[in-house]
Amino acid sequence: MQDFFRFTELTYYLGSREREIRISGELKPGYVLVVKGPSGSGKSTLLKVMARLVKAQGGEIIYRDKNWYAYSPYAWRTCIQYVPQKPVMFRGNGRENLYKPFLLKGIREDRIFNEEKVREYLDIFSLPPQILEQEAITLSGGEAARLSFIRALLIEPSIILLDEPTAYLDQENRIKVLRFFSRWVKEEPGRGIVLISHQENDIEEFSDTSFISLGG
Amino acid sequence: MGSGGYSYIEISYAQLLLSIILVLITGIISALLQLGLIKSLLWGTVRAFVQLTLIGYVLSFIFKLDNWAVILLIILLMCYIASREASRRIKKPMVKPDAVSFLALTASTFLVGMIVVVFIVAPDPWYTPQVMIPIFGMILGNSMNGIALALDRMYGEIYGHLDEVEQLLALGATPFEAVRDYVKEALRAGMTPTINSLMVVGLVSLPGMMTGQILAGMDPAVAVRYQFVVMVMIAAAVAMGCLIIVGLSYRSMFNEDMALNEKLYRNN
Repeated sequence: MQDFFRFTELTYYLGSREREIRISGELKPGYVLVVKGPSGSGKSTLLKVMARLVKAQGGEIIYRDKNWYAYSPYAWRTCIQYVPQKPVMFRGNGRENLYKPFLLKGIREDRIFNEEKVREYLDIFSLPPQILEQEAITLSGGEAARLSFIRALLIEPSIILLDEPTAYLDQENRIKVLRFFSRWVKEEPGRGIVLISHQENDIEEFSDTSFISLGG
Repeated sequence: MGSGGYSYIEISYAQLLLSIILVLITGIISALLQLGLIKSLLWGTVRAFVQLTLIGYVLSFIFKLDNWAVILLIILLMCYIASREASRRIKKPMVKPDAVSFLALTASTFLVGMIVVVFIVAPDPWYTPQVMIPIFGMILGNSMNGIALALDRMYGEIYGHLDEVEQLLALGATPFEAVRDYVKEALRAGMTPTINSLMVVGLVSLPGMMTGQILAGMDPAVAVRYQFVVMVMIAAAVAMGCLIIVGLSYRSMFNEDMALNEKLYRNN
């Protein structure tokens, strides 16, 4: 495989079209690509562009040697999974929130909801099993964040786009989550992470990292 | 038309002049309390009289027509005016809703109106304007409100839940899957007033049409049947109109790559 995840001249507008951002780079399998840059430099938007949630004005991404538009948007987004900084929970309990993607077009037909995996992930992220029965919108920020990681992981993406994943976590959970992702990215071939983080020591938890910077 | 010897009583111009007493009552209240409404009251009274007189002539003219094509054309014009009014009430449209609201109103009004006129009331000929114009007018008046409410609610809900919509897309949702809950809310908002009016009719309010028919000497039992048909007809037309307009509009909030339209982010 020549290109795992390479983006060339990726062009997008920030805010009200006043600023145009153009960036190229590459994520190698097993690596964490760290996006650097000051607040408001378009880091979050870059992740959304990569997930095809915001339209790129130009440029392209080659994933596994194929142009991104060769994939359906649903297949792309479930494979290149964007996890926003602020966790989004839907009406319903924890289990219903985890099950949500399995009702949607992206993976409805080709993946099954694995209860065993759910228990395993709850354990890894130190969430009690009762959380599955709890109304999801009543969860604390930290709990919701970890539940949203589990929801993303159950989809079995190849690449996870993490926007400030530790923003809502206390010190203990911060380390747990980072260590988990640093294991996850190496666990199977063909995985990768794109990470935005303001905390320098977040990045130290990962073994193979590369960097791109915006607005510098 | 009459039953039991009663037929409608005409109001002569002399009698009409007596209704000025009623305008005076309103005027005196406004003057005594210095509400500053005298000017609007006078202007409103004149306008109401002139507008109603004109529409009276127009209707007398239309009712003499014996040409189905002209009558359909008039109804199309009514649909157009109603759709303009409906789109004017929508606060934050993504695309100008003129075309979609015209389509939604025309399609729903014609389907439901034709069922009522041709199969239920069945006048001879079927295009009898005395039946067609009021029936279609009543449908349009209500559908117009319904679709404006539905579309307004849909935009409002989606604007208010962009994070949720985006998260659903990230989890593999199609545009419809991402907005399904909000589309349902919108349909509910559009249809609720009509369904509520089914609940209270006859208890809280006597509908204008039924009152009019009774004043015109119709047997109340017959007027009631008319009213029932009209109400279920309005409910059906509102439901269809809302469904069409929401179905045609939600897609405009997404781009060709099935992501949220970037205009939505800019407005925030």
